[in-house]
Amino acid sequence: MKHIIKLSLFIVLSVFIGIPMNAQNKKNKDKKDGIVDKFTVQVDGLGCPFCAYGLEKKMQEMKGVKKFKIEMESGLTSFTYPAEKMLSLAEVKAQVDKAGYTPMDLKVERADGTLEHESLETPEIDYEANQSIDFAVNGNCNMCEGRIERAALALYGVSSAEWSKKKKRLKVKYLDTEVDEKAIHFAINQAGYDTEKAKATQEAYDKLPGCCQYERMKVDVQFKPINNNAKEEANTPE
Amino acid sequence: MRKKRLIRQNSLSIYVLLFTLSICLVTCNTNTEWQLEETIPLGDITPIGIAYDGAHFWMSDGDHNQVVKVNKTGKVLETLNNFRRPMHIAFDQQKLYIPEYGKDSIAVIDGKKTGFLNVAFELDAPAGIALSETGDVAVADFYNHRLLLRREGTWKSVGKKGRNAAGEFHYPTDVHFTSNALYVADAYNNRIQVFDLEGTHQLTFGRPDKMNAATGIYVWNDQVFVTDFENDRVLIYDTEGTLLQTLTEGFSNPTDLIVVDNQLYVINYKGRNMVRFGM
Repeated sequence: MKHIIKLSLFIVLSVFIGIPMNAQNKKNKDKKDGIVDKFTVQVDGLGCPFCAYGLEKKMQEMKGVKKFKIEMESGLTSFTYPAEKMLSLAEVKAQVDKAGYTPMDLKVERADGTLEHESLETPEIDYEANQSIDFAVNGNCNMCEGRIERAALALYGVSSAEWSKKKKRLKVKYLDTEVDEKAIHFAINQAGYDTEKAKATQEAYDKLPGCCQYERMKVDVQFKPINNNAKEEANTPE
Repeated sequence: MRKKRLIRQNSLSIYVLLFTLSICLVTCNTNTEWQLEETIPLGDITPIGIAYDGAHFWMSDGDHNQVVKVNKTGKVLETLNNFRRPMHIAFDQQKLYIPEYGKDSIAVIDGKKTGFLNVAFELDAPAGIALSETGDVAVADFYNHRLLLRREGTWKSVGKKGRNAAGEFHYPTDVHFTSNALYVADAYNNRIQVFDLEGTHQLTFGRPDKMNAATGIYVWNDQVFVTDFENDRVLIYDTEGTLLQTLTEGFSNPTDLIVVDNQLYVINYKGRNMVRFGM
């Protein structure tokens, strides 16, 4: 009987002590840095070490960032941040943007085990392209490549976009009932890049990080948006 | 009889002359053109900068935060750790100078001792350093878009952020002294700028050649060597800025170069190797 009482007491105590211990174990506790949130950010275009190390430098300017890691090949970065400061994914995104990169995917594993996730969305491709165009777009590097292609792919109606760093040309396949050529040029301009038919605004160009600020093309035309719908925007050249 | 001898002698002279000319032509060709001779693998090293200590190469390995001593076959002889993104390094008077891009300082390795270069200005991502024969120092201050110059013991800032004008920089990455000039790789302006030793602008060149990030520079024997990072090229100019040769073979994101024993060595960041050119 004594044994049964002892055993029951042990089980009860284990459960009461064990729950908070388990909860504590679940927390991202770092011996040195205390309780931390774990962030991972996927960026693309880390081909140039000067830019990649620059991203690292700018991210580390956020006081509290620890254990910063960057994988050059995959563009995957990770770091920890004190949990009590509740750093948001929006703040992380803003800092990555400031460094000149576009975060493709952001995740945080909070200290209490909850997960938050944000991904750069592109429209679902439920159509088949019936047109193909190939035109000159100026840019410099892998980061430019990512930005140019994403700008085109963000348009509903575009099924593929491939920019060649060497040839400085963009190949786009699209469905002409959903999107037209001008809208594609305009989207590229909005990302900061001149095309052979239209020039990006100075404001959009200036937003590009230094290493992406390519030599501008000699184009006089600048497309104007009509409304917020990208499909209908690029109708009136100046 | 005499006439025949004269003709024979003349013919011989013509043959000798032609032979000498052809030899000269061949020699002249090989003397002015650099040719790829060897690719030397560097294992996992992602080289950014290269220097020579008189016997071996030193290379900064940016991705792995280390600086390595390497022989001419690519064998690693020594590894120095714990740098934060070491960039274009320099070796002078038995000291190794290592700009740390991620730490905003310049480490100085003197034998077993490590110190830091005292710079009178605040650095933001130092990307390259050079020392002159007379002890002057130049630093490419990347994010501040300027050059820091220590002339006869006094530091001064040279240039400002800009895209076109003389003395304007857009992310300078490397510097090189000659006896009377300072050459700067104005990386994202895709050009070379030349200054006198006081920091006064003298010459700009390279823009028409459409470089895409002029990351590394070295001057030897009146030839200016520049790595064209994104285009996988090395451009060779004379000191007046005339393009002499464009090397296209053997590169994969070249970052820096050096001439040792009449051989040009170029390091490839992405290729993780070093290529050797001879004349």
